[in-house]
Amino acid sequence: MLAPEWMKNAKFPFGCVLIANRGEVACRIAKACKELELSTVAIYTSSDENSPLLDLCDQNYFLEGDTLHETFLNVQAIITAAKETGAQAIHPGFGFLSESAEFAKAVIDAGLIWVGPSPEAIEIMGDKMSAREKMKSVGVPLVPGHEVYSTNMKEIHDELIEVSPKLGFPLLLKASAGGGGKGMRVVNRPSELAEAIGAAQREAQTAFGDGRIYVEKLLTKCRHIEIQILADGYGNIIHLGERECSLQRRHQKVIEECPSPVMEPRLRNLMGAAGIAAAAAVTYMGAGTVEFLLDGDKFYFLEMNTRLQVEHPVTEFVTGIDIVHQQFRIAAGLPLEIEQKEITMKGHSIESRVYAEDPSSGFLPSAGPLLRLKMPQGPGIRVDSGVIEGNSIDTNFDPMIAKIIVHANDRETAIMRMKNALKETVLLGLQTNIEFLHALLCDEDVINGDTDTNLIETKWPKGWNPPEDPEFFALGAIACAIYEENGLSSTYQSNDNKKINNDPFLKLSNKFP
Amino acid sequence: MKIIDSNNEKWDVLLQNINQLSSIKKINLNDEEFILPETEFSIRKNTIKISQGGQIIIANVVKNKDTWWVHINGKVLTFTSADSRKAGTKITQGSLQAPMPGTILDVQVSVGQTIEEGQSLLVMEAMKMEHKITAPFSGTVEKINCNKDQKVDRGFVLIELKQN
Repeated sequence: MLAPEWMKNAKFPFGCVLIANRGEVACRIAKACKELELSTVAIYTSSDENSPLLDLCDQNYFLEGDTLHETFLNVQAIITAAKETGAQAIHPGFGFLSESAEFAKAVIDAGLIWVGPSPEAIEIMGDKMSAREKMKSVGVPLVPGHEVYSTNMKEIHDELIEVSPKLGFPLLLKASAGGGGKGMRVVNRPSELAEAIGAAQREAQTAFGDGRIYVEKLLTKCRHIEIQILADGYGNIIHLGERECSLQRRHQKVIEECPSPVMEPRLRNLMGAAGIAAAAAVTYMGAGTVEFLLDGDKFYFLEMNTRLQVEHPVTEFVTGIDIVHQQFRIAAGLPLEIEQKEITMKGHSIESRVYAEDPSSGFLPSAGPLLRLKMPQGPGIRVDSGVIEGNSIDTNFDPMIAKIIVHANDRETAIMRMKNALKETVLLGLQTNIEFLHALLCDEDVINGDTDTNLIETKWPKGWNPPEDPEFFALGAIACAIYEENGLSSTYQSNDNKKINNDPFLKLSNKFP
Repeated sequence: MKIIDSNNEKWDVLLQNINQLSSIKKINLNDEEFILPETEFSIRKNTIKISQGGQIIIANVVKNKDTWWVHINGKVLTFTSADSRKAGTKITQGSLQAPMPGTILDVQVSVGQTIEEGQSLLVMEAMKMEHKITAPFSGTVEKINCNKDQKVDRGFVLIELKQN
């Protein structure tokens, strides 16, 4: 494939990109490629045969196998796919192999362009313990903690028992190889430590194949603020301001916004500078995010995510910069065109993550067919999703179904817009958190921007139940009766021939015999 | 039509249809008449338009097996047919079901073992997160129906307990 015209002066031009991911983020990247006149290759498995991604990409490459290790985590198979399809670059998206230094290295060694930072940078930042050391060396403030270098269960246990009184409870156990809340455990008192170590190690081992864990003091009543970084590899590093991601549950972000309601220019400059220092410390290249905990006006480095982030759209809305476009420019070896002083933040953006989970049963994951799917539309509304009506959500993959992102002139209008967008979203066939997201945006503390990372767990420790309104149930019951009596069911079937061939229930029963 | 909502309340709806407009002849909640303010319904393509006190609400309904999924004004309600509920398998008290499809990571008790309320019985994994299944009461383990590494569907009876 010939490189597009805009790459004519680039050091590493390419014309065809393999997207080493699936679902929402793969579709997001495919759309950026279309805009940039790059040809695309999708990789897919038997679970993705009806994915809209396959229509978005110019080539589809089937990965054989049932497990993730055989497919989306299979370095060799993906490189082979790139070679066979003529792809010249690989974009990893987020999740899967996006933060695998081994994969980045294999891509580069195969003579392909890696859309991301160097394997060395990924390696240092991907290991929480080595990242902490690196940050210490450049003066980026850290959460107080203790790194345990042993891999022996008993030794880790003994060392943690020894150091924990010095740090003081509550503590947070973290997988050194971790991310996304996996392999993480809160320990409130010494008696819980032993069991928590076991659980954190097991989870870390399953999720990352690396059971090493370390401990940090658990800072409560903090905000999670992160800085979006762009670095071109020629020494130009800029930040695109912050994202406020305090609304989390079990360390999984739920609602993010930009700017943070508590940010003021002085603090933004300080945190931005710390983010740039963190990126510079590992000679970073590409788009990355430096995460901090903000406690009053003190902030502490949490980790750096060396990839595109789920919540990147809120920054895109507010700064007007397309982060995925920038990733491709940087990967092609083009210097940044934007200077720090040109970055302006306009209006307010909020993202809601729609998860396949049941808030009323303690947010347990749910699965099922997307019998009906209508996403919101309108001014200032963006939907990033990788599913269409008729697809089904299964528990083999991440529970995120889609992201709804809004932009408005101010925070109040953005909240209003998001609440309406959520109300408009019709997703039937499985339990989701949509009503909970709406309830969150009606919460007084959330409206006032008075949030911290424990807000959800403090207010709804056992999950969330929708307020009971018998009149709604009555209307619902009547709607069911009308549906039955008027044969609306048959309309649903015949409206879309694809649905019959691709009966989601057949798929489900295949999967869970 | 007799249906049951997610709170186990029984609804009985009797409609009368004139052309494309439906109105309610009678609606009962747990065998007692439920009084609704003046409400009209009409059918649009795939959706139901509800008109109540000058306000328009759109309802989306889809049926999957014995469950109706209804979306009204941002809320999702589910109903099951009253007949299927009766015919469905009865869950004996003390049997712990898998709350989600997933894999068993660890079975922490054995048959005959005495357990305390809140004690962790087994660990499951779904979507790469661990979930503990704990005892809802103190008692003894009667039966264990799963093994480590086994994949289970939602609703699978994992462990049966006998209350003290």
